[in-house]
Amino acid sequence: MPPFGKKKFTWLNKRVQRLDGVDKVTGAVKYAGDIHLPGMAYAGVVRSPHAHAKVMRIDASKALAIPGVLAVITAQDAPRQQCWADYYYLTNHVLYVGDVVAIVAAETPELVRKAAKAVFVEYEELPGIFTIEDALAPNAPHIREKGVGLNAMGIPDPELPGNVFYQSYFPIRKGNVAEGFAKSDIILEKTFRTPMIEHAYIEPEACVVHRNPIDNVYTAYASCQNPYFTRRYLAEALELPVARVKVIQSAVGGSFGGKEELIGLMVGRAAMLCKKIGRPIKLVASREDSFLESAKRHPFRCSYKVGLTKAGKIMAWEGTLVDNSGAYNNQTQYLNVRAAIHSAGAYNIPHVKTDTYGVFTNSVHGGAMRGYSSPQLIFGQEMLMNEAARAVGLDPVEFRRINLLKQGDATATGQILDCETVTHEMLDFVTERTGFKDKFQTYEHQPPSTRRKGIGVVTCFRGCGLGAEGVDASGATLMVTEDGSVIANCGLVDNGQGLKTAFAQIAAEGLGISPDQISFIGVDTSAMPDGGMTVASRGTTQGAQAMRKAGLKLGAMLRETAASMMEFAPREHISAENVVCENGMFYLKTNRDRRVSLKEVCGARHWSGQQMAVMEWYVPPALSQSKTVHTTGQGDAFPCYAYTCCVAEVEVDTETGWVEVEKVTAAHDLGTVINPGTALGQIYGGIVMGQGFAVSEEVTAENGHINEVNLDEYIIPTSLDMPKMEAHLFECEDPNGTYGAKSLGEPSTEAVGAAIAGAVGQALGITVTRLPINLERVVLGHALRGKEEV
Amino acid sequence: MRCRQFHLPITLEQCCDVMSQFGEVAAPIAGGTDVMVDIRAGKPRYAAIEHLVDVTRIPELHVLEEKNGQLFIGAGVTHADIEFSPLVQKLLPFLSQACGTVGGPQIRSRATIGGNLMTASPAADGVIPLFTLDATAVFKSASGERTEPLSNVLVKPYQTCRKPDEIFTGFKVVLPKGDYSTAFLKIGRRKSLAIARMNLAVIARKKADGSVDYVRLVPGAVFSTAQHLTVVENFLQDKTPDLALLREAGTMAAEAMIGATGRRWSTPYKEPALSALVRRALCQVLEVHDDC
Repeated sequence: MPPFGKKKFTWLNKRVQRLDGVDKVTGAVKYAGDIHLPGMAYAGVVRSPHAHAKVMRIDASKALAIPGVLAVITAQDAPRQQCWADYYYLTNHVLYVGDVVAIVAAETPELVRKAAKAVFVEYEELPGIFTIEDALAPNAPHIREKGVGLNAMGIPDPELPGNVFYQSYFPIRKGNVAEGFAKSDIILEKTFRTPMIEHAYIEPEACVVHRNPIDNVYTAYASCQNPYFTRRYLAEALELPVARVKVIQSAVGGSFGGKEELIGLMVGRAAMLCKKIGRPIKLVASREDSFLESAKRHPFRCSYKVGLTKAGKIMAWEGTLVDNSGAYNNQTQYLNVRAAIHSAGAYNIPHVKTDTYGVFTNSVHGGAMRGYSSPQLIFGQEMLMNEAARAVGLDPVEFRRINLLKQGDATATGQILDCETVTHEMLDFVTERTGFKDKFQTYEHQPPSTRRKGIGVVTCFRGCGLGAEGVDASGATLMVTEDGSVIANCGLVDNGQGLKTAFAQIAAEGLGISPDQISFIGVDTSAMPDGGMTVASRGTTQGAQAMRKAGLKLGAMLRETAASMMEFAPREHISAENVVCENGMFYLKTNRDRRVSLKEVCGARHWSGQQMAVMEWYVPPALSQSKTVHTTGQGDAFPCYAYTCCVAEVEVDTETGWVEVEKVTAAHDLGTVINPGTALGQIYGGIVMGQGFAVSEEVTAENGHINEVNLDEYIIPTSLDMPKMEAHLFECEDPNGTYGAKSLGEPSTEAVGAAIAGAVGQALGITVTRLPINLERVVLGHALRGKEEV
Repeated sequence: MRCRQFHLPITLEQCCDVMSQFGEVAAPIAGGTDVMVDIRAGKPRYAAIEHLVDVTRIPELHVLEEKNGQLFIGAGVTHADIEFSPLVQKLLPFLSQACGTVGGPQIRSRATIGGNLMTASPAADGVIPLFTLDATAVFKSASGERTEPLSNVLVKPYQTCRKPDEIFTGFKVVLPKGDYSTAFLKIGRRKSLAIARMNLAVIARKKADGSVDYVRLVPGAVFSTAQHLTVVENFLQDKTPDLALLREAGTMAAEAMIGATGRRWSTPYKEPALSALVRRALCQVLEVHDDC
């Protein structure tokens, strides 16, 4: 059985009920779109119907003449067109279908739509580029001033003009690939492509902006995943210092990395209108708005070359990874740091050379989406591993066993994995649990039929937290009140993943009280300093470090008081070390009859004027790879890594193209499991999201016009499509995360697409090179519409 | 559209009155699962509409009964009603199955079989089983009643023969005699909330000697409107089915599709898919082992 639950914790490793569970299930929770303020007006946007065009003339007079229309702001009148993060609130030079040229405010949502239609815009169309191939074509128009070209070696060169996003270029140079290939008996090369993917969170973006009557500060209630980023948009749009505005995060109905750019722009736009008309403004994205303007998972084109010995040892790995950043971007340059670090997979390879960069196109921007490059990369890597295994006559498990990273090995960045890895244990466990080897052999020799079975395995790893992408600092406050109840707060947010519950457990572990005694207030940006983004699966593993420290520190302070309250005789001294707090009661370890309640302790502290709160800050140790990201990429890139092994079993109908995902078995190394219930929830959700990525989801476009702008056409799996799911939680000893915890949010989905694609590949006797492997691609090997480069 | 008035007639007469008064600018609405979506999307068929006529309170539209070998299905009967109707499950299992694949549970509880016909989507799941049986559609207006075969009702994609002053009240289905068997197959992109990429309804009866006595096949999302695969029906008549024959029937069906629509962008996929569906459905109803 997986090594789980052997650690000694009071509140960790426990299925604690979610703090927000009852409110969410009963509908008591209100989302930003539910907020209604007196005197509130509504806002909307006018979008470009062209992928690349100049606005020649814009006339809002007809819209403004409609009774009930309150304001129209065009790019000319806007206090600011471009935001701090590259995207545009409003523009005169549209770079993709959906770019905003005007914003309107009116008394009702119906009038907003009418007004938006009445704004006259004359465009001069310009040629557009849409795919990675378009962007890199020799005569392609250059759509961004900051774009650069590739030199003769295919390396981005800041001296040359082009469409490459130079700041997103990251090389990895380990060993000497020429030497590695020279020592190889077999060399394989292949290119893999992944589509643009929509998050499709159940709640589209929404915000309300007003000048709150308490302190007259412009305040936004927003469905945002990084409220401190959103605050920056708000301050900028209002031309105010950051301290003169605030953002309060409303309940978030799913984010998965997506509620950052669009919600920021929306808050900025709403704020411009709010200031102009002097009334509260609500701006809610329709599902179509969300499809048109929200960030997407970057499409990737990954070309890999692998060198192997006859015995199956990988000697060299070379890759060029290009992602489509869209028209604007402030993510690819971070996303590609991670992509580069993980560009050779979870394998021990002596010689690695990869180049990763993004290109600009006239498409909606790529952004963060659950994985931040990993689902795309792992797909190609693992397909090639399966092909490599076949080339040396090994089954996929044996091949991985030879090459899989283990404790003491060096990653592609040369980082030595000095802690326990559990990679091989997980591979053994999952393959045995699923009967992988027998099934694999049986399916290799299945009789000809139109219903073919396949099984696929994936092994992968993920750096926990931001690593060398950024700094994993965090802050947290914990305060007790005179009655012993506790208020927790931090700058990280609950986007639905259960962060409040996990953080309450982490605080409770140090405090010695039950997590349900902790009230976790949400983020008000004026009440807490920015404790870093809730991204990169960092919340628990790194973002909670400050909460851990706060719990321990406040716990120690309370024990100090409890100890003094237990001192009966005048000369008696009880050390706080000898006091333990269990479930809100302090006991003397040597005599449990001597006890004092949390309430009494807090009351005593309060009435004697002692400190009732702590604020802790965590600054992680520096990572050496951050100094080499632009040269060799060598060094320590992450504090720790989370490991995954995933097996998918499918039956493919070769006549209709239907892929029945029968079962997915996933094992995850969580370091320390904080809450097994919410962990399983993450994994099950991640599996279904991975299934959509593998077999049905794809945002396609014709000349920049997105074909799927609602959930009838964009096919996410339903509850009936879900496979049987089996999740296994592994723990291990690695001191680098909060109480030893690692990441899970993104690991839970990143392997699944590749596992399913591997299984489909076996069923069809092919290597799947492009996702999704949908009805048409199963039957024909390609999509029906559009050209598909091989 | 701009909805000026919402009508809620509670008798068929009232409804006919409203339709005769506002016909050209009125649209009937029942479950609304197509109407509301199309209005929101700004579909041209609703551009001139100013009156919505809610037909859900008219008792006649909710009738689902069998009389003298004839089944009447009111236009206001929901897909869920049909899916779970013991009568339909017994008499026309493929209709029950087809209705059970429309949308999701919430949609099936609102959406009506009448609306499925009136939307006239080439992919309509609920319509094709009725089409195999040459069901007729009953229209009422202030000036009387008329009955039309479904082949006349479906004029072209998203257009029916319903006149502006008429209201569609239901289907009449003459049940086939003897011991027949039915099948409904559908290819969608997921298991629920999936518009048919292709679907197929088949009904058949064998003679005592095992040869085909009667067979009807109607695919959806294949022709511009639902129609019989007559060439396949004729081909199979009186023949004794085996796998080779049914494979041939499948190939023939695909040829019929290409003959009618020409080679289109979707043909490379639809050609093998239709062959397979036809073969599989025939194997099912004619009890031939399909070892493909």
